[in-house]
Amino acid sequence: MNDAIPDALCEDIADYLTDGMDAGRRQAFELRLSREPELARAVDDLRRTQDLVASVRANELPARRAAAGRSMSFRRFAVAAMVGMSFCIGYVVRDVTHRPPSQGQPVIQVARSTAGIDREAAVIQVLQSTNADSDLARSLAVFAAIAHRKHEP
Amino acid sequence: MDDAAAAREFERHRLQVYRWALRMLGGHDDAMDVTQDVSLRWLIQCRRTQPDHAQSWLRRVTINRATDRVRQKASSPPLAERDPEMLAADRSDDLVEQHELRVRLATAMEQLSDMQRQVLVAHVWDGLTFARIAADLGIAVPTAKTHYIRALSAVKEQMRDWMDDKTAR
Repeated sequence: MNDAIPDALCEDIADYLTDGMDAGRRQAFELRLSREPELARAVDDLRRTQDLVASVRANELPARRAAAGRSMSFRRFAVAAMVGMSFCIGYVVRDVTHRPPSQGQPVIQVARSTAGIDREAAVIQVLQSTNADSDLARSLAVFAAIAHRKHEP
Repeated sequence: MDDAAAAREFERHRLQVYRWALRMLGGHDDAMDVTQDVSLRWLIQCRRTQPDHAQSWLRRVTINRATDRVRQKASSPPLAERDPEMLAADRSDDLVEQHELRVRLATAMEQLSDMQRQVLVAHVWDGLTFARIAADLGIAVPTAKTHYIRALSAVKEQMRDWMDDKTAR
């Protein structure tokens, strides 16, 4: 049935499933469905599929955590670039390389030795030492600098 | 577009990117990883050429990256082996079911054409009208609706046994 659905009928079904029909058109389409059980079954299947896809929804809590996590992440990142705090660098290393902070000790040392010279250069050096692609490292540095400016008092 | 402008533009879409990723992946950390990955790809893309429709570009890349991640996770040890304590919790069945649903859905969506996937996500998850989707993608409204129904049909075929199982319960 589905492969054989002509384009014009697709438009009707899409409008029907998404409440895009006015009352008259809906009534006419429902009358057609009542006369064509195979079409009615196909439309019902499509509605259930639509509901299934829609059921994969984010709840509110993670969305709020995301907002908090985002600013915290970038704030830590920016602070790390400035003062070379080991915890912050560890956090960044995990974010960039997906390695846990405990595996980022050499990176932390690099950060400590370079921090204070130039914040952006320090970030780039830290990230390059994690074998991150240098383009990505520079991109992250730009984001960090912007985030830092945003959070500066 | 310079890096700073690209970063500012991405900031406008960051939460939406996160939400797309979260719907596909179901976990905050994974969604944050994908969001970060997409942000870097966006910056690199903008150095070459700025996409005409930022949201469409970001939606496509986010869904593709999230799909890759779902596939990687699906090939990792089963949930029960990774976190037996979680399975002992009251909501373990729900978690396993949600995990399986996301994997199945991601696999099904992977089979769609790029256009079908974009229309489906834009309408079902973003709640955009077909007129808006058509304008974003540079296609006619009836074409967007056709892509939508073809996408649902394809997903339905991929998910048929799952849906039949739910109906039988």
